[in-house]
Amino acid sequence: MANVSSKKGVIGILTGGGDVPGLNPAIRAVTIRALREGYQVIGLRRGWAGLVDLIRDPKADNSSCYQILTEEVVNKAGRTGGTFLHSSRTNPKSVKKNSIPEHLKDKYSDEVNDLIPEVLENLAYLGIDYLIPIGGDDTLSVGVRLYQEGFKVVAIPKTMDNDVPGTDYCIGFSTCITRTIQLSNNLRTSAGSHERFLVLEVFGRYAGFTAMLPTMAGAANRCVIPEYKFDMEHLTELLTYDRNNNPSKYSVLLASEGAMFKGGEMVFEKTTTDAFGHAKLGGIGDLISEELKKHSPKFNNGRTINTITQKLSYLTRGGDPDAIDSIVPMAYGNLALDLIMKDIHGRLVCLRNGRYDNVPVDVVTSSKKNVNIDKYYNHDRLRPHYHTFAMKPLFIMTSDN
Amino acid sequence: MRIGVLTGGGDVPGVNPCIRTLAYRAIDEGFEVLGIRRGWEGLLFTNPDDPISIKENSLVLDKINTRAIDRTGGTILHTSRINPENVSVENIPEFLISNFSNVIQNESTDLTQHILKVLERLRLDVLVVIGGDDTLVYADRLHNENIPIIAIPKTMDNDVYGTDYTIGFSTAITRSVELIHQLRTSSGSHERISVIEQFGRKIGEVCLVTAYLASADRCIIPEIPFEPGRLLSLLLDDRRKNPSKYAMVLMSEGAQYFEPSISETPGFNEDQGLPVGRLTAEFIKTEGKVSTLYQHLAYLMRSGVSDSLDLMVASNFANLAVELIQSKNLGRMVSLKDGHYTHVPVTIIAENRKKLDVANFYNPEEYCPNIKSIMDMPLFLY
Repeated sequence: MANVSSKKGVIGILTGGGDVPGLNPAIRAVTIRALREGYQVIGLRRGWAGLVDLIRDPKADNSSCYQILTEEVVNKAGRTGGTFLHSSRTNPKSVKKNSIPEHLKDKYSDEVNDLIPEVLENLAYLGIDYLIPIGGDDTLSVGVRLYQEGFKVVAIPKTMDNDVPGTDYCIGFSTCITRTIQLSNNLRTSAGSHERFLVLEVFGRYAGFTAMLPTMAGAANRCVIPEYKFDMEHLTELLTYDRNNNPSKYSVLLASEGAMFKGGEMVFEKTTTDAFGHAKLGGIGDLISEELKKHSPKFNNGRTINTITQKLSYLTRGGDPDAIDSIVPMAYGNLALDLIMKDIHGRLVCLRNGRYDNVPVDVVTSSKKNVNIDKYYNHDRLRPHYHTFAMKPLFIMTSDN
Repeated sequence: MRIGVLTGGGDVPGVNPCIRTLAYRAIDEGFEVLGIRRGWEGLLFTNPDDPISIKENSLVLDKINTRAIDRTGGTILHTSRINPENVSVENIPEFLISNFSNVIQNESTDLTQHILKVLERLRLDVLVVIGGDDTLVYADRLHNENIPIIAIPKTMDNDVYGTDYTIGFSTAITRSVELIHQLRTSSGSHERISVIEQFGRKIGEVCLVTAYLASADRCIIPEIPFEPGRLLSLLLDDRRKNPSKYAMVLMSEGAQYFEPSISETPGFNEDQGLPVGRLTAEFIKTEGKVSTLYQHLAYLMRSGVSDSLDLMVASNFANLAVELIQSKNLGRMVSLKDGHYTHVPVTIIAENRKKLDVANFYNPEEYCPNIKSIMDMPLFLY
């Protein structure tokens, strides 16, 4: 039993997975609307970890597991990047033995344990009626499970990779594009001064959206993405052509971390996996750079073209949210409240073909989302197609159909 | 009077403003300014007998083509790392291969005689060289060949001997501080220990000053080898004390492990192929059982436009260079000494290596900046 009670009900909110700018505005939107509508709001800390680690004892210190949200708290945080509730990659559906909290060690001693029953009991203990998880497909897959167990869940999609099925848009994607364009443009003077290839590697896991959209926006001449295996010699020829046609004698490649050579596999720099079983990706930028140096003399009168390699990594999700990641979270938060007020649950708020909407939450686990390369990726030019924009939604290639 | 100007080595913000001020002031004084393209490579690839090659490798600077360049980073003249004293076979221009066939060996060739011929053909009265250590050491060589030289020191590492300041140093710190603060939301949201790596192989000045100004918890500089275990326990403590439960360490890419501890440190995997920051982050993750964030700032440190301090120094260095040329005071490097603009003999560059005053500015026990007794210190603390 939590120390809050409300006639209308109690809403729990949590943020899971990688942090992105826009999470704090979403928490703010949910909280302010909910409080005004007469609900109370509990912020669950560190994603699902807060609901796993909670000790159901009024004397226990649970300050690292939840906090009561007020307008004052969320207003201040609402302008900043990251998530003030903090985040984790803890997945209560499968918790490894060494990650089981101390007070549950006796009860769960298998190598991998399902802690969903504890999560449900903890939600009941806190008096939470509705849960709003904000996360990517992994975080939300737990939301789907809780919904299947009968809990009232309304999910909000976020991920800089924009790879949550069922929605055109995930919070954080726009700021990621904004940052990528800024950082690429900032590096142009270096690439130009040295007359080199600029190879930028970006996060994105198995989806190429984080490379495609910035390229379309002019951040790069070419991009390589996980959905299409590219030929190294072909890429070198194109980039050399771009470079030699540029009065400043440089060209820019944007490489998704999951991009692959023809005949190759994803580059696994480390074989470690996170709690959701994903292999950590990375390292393709360095490999491409080496290959570009090796192949370039063939297309450049025998002279090697050097490269500048930069992993943008965490910098594409650092800092404050851009305009779209301030607007969309506000809309998503209010959409979630619209649903809760009608007692509709088991939904994912979303943007579909450019319009705000909601879909069944299990769409998250029933499909995968990545770039439709036949429609949007030019296999000959190794870049997006630049035609047929009429009637396309804002982000052009991120709708399901 | 005809002034030649070239830029060599890594690009830094501040070089273009320097070129602009130099061109404007020189033109106002009635001089001609010829920009040499791609550092020493521009001279190397100039064929004195071929007007087209001269055109390809140089550019007459005027008030139109330099008007707006101070708003951009990089260098409009472009740059290279070629040293004419030491040219690999791949980099010898085709027209020279026959001329120099008798001296071209397998390893590398000194093509200074060709450079002197080119300088004579370009009818330059003085050559202004904007560069770091490597670029300026060759300028010193030309000085010894009786070429009138004015050197302007630039490098984001601030490691040119004979000056307290080199163009690009301040912007590298400005950029690093900005980027570090941007990474704080990620570090905090995940309650991680963040390992942030910076360029800087030989000297830890950028790292130390950045850590001081960005309030990074710890910094590891090349001058003082570190024990990973000790660093880890300091960082775990920093993380515990931080209300947002994260900690940050800044590392020079030239950071060295304190050797004896390496073999005794369990879980430490030394792999020469990976950057030191990446290795350290892996170590922290494995040994500290804490999640980490690793980011190399790399080229982003010298990206973007020059900050105001670099604009200030770049403009003043350029003006001072023209003053020296006017007064025929040649063979000099413009310099900042104890907070004052001055000039020193260009020969000073090769005389010694610049070192960081570790004893006064770094705490080797706590791995952090140790800046005390500010009274009477110059702007940059040394």
